Amino acid sequence: MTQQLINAIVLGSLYSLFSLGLTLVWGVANVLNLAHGALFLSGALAAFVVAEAVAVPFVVMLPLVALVGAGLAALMDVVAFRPIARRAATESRREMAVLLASLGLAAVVTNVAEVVTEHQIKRIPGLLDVESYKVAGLTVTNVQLMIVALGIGLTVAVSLWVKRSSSGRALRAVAYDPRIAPLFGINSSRLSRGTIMLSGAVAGIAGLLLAIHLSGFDANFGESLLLKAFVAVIVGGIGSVIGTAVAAYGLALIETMLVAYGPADARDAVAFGLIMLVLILRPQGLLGVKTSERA
Amino acid sequence: MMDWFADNETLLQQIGVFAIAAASLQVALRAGVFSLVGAGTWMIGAYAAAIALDDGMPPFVALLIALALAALVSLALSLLTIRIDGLTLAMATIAFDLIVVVVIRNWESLTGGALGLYAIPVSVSSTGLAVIVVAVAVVLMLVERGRQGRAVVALREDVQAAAAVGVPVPLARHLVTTVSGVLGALSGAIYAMMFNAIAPDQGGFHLVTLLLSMVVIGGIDSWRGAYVGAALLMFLPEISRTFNEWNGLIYGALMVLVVVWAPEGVLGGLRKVRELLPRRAGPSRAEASSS
Repeated sequence: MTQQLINAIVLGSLYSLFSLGLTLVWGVANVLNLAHGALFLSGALAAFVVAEAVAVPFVVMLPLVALVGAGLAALMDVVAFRPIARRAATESRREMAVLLASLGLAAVVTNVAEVVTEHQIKRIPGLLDVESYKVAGLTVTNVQLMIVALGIGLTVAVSLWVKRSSSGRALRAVAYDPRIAPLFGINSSRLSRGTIMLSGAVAGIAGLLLAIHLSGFDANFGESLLLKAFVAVIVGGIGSVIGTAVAAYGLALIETMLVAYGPADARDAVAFGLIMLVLILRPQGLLGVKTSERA
Repeated sequence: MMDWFADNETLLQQIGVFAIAAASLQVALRAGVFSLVGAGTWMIGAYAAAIALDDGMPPFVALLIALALAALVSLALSLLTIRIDGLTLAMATIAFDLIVVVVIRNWESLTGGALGLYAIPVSVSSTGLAVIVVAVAVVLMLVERGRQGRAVVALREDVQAAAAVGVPVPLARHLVTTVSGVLGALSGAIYAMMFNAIAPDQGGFHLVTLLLSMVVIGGIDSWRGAYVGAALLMFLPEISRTFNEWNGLIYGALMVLVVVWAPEGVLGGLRKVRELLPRRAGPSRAEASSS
């Protein structure tokens, strides 16, 4: 039972790391970035390419993949999201165009990954040896500990930043109204680019961690998490960092318990059931607020 | 000419099948309903038809079963999601598309699991497909004009204004979503009955991307865009056979380019070029259609 709980916390941390950027970018920049899975993938891919060439210690690799994720996210903003925002006639057209462009960007990154990985599952060589510790009859690995530490740590850090810091307050002002925020001296375009880069950095780290945790990755491995992230974001409330994290851990707990004690086949149906239930009963999410007060 | 047809029959069949699938998404998007239900019902249609055929039903009945099932599912989904809009609706319907694949993959006794279903009796001819493709085009052309066509445009441009002038908004949305779902299933069912195999990998995120890129590249404002987009994207791998490995990159990049630089798609771009050319007598078609 306790072992199952540990598994659920690890899984929840992964879901949370993946959903964090998605919910922030949606809440602040009003961008549903379907290339978020591609940012996640880029972390694992960059680590794979680098580790194939030179031996790099893990503590160097971690910031490196964060940089790659952030850089790729910035690139997406420069080549697609920003130019679309400049041209779009109405807000709903912009939303749709950005979503479509993000699908195109995802296809590009996935294709590059397919070619680099030769359509196979690849292992990132010699980065980190998985070590198991036995504590009071329970087994945990160093990778699991790292996932949980980063999952909880980054979620709390980002949440505190959004709630407490002055730039976090500015961020919420942009989410509230991107046209009025600049009147108070807030550089809203820089902030929204910063948010997109932050989401890329977190996604890159998460991708690397999952690739080590599963001891391998392939070109499609971000996609399976996208559905879980949808659940976390919708159930938790768009733009709500803590809400999304709570939903991510909750989903992981339900899934783990179903696999352990209930019908394992029902696991993925839970995801869809939750989305529909929340959309019908409480469209703004459990901890969410009205659209006008996001993030 | 006949030789060319014979050589490229499979390609033409694929264009026909995917033209209907692309039209399925285009119908919803044109109405401003960001529902991607068509990619999910495509899979439902394909499997329903394959299973019905396997149970010994005649092809026509199998097709009807597939369409009826898709109509029910998409209507139910539309009823459930009537309160949400825009990006949230897009996300919920993509979730639906992904879940359909998960269910198919897990329901092994019925769907053959990850391997899918194969040796489905081939039961649609090229002529049959051609007739269906033309029929769908005619229906969509008629619907785009006239009273319903204008109601749909009103729905996209301003929901409140549409309601104010008497467009029954929720009903129109249910109708649009159901039509979109049925067209998706039609395409999926024909696919299964024509290419005699179907597997879960053909659906999901990949299918959503493929169909959306067809619609976007062709042009979102008319069924013609969906048809042109399907033809372009199916031809592309043929032309660029040497770059086969880079197909995803090519159509992904194309999609971004079109969305940023030519939001009205290839057809919209052509229309603009025509407007720039020296004028002939009489109002141009673009003016006639925009007024």
